[in-house]
Amino acid sequence: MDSVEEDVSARVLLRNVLHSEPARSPVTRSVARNATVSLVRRSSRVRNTPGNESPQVALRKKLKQKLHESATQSPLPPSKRPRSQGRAVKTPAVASSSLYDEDITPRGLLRGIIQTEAEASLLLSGQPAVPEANQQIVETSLHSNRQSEGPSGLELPDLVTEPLSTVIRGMSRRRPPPTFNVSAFERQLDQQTGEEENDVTQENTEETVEQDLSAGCKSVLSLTLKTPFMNVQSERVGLRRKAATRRQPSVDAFDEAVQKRFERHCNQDYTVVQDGKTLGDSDWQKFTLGLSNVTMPDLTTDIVMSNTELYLQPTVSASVLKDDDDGPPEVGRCEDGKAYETNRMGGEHQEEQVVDDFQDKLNEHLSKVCETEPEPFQEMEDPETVSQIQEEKEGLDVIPSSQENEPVSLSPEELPFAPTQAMTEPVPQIQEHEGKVSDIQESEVEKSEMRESEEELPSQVLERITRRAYHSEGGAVVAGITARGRSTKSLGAEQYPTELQSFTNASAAEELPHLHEEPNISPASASTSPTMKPYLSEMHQTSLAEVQVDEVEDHTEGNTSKPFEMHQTSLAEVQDDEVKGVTQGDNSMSEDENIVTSPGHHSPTPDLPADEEEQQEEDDEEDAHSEGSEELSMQTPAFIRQRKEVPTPGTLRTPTVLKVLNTGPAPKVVKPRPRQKTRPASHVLPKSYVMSVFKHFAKTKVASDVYPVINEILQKYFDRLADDLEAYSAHAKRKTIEIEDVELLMRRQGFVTDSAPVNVLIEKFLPLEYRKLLIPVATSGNKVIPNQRR
Amino acid sequence: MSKKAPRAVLKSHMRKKSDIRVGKNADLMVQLNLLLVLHRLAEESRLKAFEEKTATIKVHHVKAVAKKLLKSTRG
Repeated sequence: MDSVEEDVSARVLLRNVLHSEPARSPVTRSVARNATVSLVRRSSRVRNTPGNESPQVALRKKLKQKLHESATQSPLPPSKRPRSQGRAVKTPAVASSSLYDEDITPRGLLRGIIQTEAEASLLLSGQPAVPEANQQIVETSLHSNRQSEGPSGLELPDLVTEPLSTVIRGMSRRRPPPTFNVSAFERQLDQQTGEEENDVTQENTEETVEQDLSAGCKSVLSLTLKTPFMNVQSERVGLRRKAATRRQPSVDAFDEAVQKRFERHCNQDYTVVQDGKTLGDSDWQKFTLGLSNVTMPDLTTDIVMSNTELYLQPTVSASVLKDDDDGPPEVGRCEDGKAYETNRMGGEHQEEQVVDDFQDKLNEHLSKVCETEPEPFQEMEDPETVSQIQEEKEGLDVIPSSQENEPVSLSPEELPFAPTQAMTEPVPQIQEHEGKVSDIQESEVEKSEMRESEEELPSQVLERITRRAYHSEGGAVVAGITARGRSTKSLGAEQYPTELQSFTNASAAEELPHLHEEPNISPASASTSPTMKPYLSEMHQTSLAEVQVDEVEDHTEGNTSKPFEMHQTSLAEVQDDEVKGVTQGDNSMSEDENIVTSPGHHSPTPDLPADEEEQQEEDDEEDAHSEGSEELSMQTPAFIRQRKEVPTPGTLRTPTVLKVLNTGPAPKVVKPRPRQKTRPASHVLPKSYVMSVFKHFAKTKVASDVYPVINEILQKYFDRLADDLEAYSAHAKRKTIEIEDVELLMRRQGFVTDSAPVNVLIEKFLPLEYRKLLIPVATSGNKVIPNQRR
Repeated sequence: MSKKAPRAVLKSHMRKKSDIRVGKNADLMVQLNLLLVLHRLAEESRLKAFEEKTATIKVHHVKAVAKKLLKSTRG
């Protein structure tokens, strides 16, 4: 039997198991009973009949053979199952009983059978195989007790196949028993796992396969059989999933995070970025370390600033530091920068004295201006340095001193201070002391130029970036300063770099005349100087210097008055404009040629550029605002537009032929007919009105032939409307339909809500004339329109 | 641009059944109501047309929404 069984298909094994099982566990019996009604019937029958071994053996063999056949063949139709089940019950009982003695526990066998059967049946016919296997198992278990096989042996093959499916199906339907079976089954399964090698392996595979199959359709036995395996597999699955999910994102996320930080640093600190790149995407810490090593470790911003500042404003920072200390310490950077500057200042004793006086003034303004803007500080630095230069000596001395100062390491704070100073300086200077301002401006210009000359590209980039950052941060910083900057930009944004360059390159002699000429321009230029720094560095000084001379003359003449005016007027817009101006300036000043040309442009119309720039700046701001607002307002329409865009292709797709056809026949038809202006019967409202309203509300194209449909709808609607209004007025014991009735109707309809009061709707939809009539408007003379009855 | 519906027609509609009288400017409110209804009708049919990915509102679109709309605006 064993050998035969082994050779036999899983079904046979199942049968055997089923036979053996019931002897062991009553559960099988109950399961079998619940599983299938038909089975129950037969099971009872089978149980009652006594089992004969000899006939049982014979039956088993036959069953085995037929199982083989059935396995290969498709399962028999369900109609035959009832018959077969009963008979199959017998055979499985016999087989199971015989098998019971064997080492293979029924559960294990069942499991294996089910799995194997399921696979085979799956191949043949999806799910029924599984239930069939289950059914078989159930049957065998059920029938283990019953041993009467009778002459139905011939029918065994059919029974074997059919009852299995039916049994399995029946079992699958029943849910409660599985729980019980599972527990008991699991125990047995554990025992059986090692017993049947062949079957086990198959079972495992089968079980897995079966488990993969929808558990719902599987019979109770199958479920129970699989449960132990399922747990393992489920565990594995869960583990796998988790592992898979964990690993993948971690790597990617990590890379992304690394790159993000990378980019951040890249934007902030040019030099650092380079280092960071070299460092690679490995660690964030590396970035920070690199940054710290490269730049000032104090503050990140300082670090960022430091790079640029160091190059840009060696002198300015020094001079500024002295006086800036008194200045507003709003920003930590500013304070640090100032402190740093003060440190430097110590080295510059010569300039200190002169600068101190000047710086005091600057500080005053700085305090006002430098509230939170690092840029103001930068600008302030510039004027201070410039002022220093002025006071000490006219050109050469100052320049060399400034140059000397420059070598002094510029802290990032200094850079921010410089612009602020420059910004503040021009403002107070212009306002208070023109003469001094001019000098200061000149010095500032010189200094700025010098600074700029020393600037390096990376620093420039950083500066620009930082400045922009400051701009974005600061918002309303020193209106005066910003205005100055802007005005300067407008006037000398392009001019200034050239001027600055000239200063840097040219000797004192050249610079002096320029300085004198520039005083008017200088306030503007001074403010722009910080911004222009990047530009200047790029530009060649020598060539520019020459051009600048001429330009300066022109500019000074024309710009003197205007810059001041512009400063005052453009205070509000400066910041944004500054950024733009800076960017613009950068673009324009990037090359020498540009510089040369720019001055040319400026010279002819010194005033115009300022005005234009102001306007441009204003426009830019307005545009920005308008763009922003437009964007917001565009959102909803955008959606609709998108929607419209989607359907539009359809309309476009409508073949032109159709269009032609539509148009074609119409004229032909209309002409012959006599035109009769017959009002279509029962028109609720004029077509023109209805269609216009409908099209207006529809917002998309509307076929003109929809009018009749709308007409009908409106007809029905009006009928109902009239009835309702009548009812309402009757309820109010009135004989007239009043506005209140209609209001009530609208509220009941849901058009009028707490959030959409009537008046709002009136305002929204009705034309002005009607609105006046409906909504009381208070006018002078204690009149209310329309007249309200009191 | 907002149009104006003929007030007389509306009044006649309101007075449909019986000789009930129509108060002052009540038909204006009815006009408002009508506009709202048409608006809703157009909206619904437009959505329906979009479902079929056509930009144009066709008859069957309107018909499909008509019944639901009439039911909703009962009161």
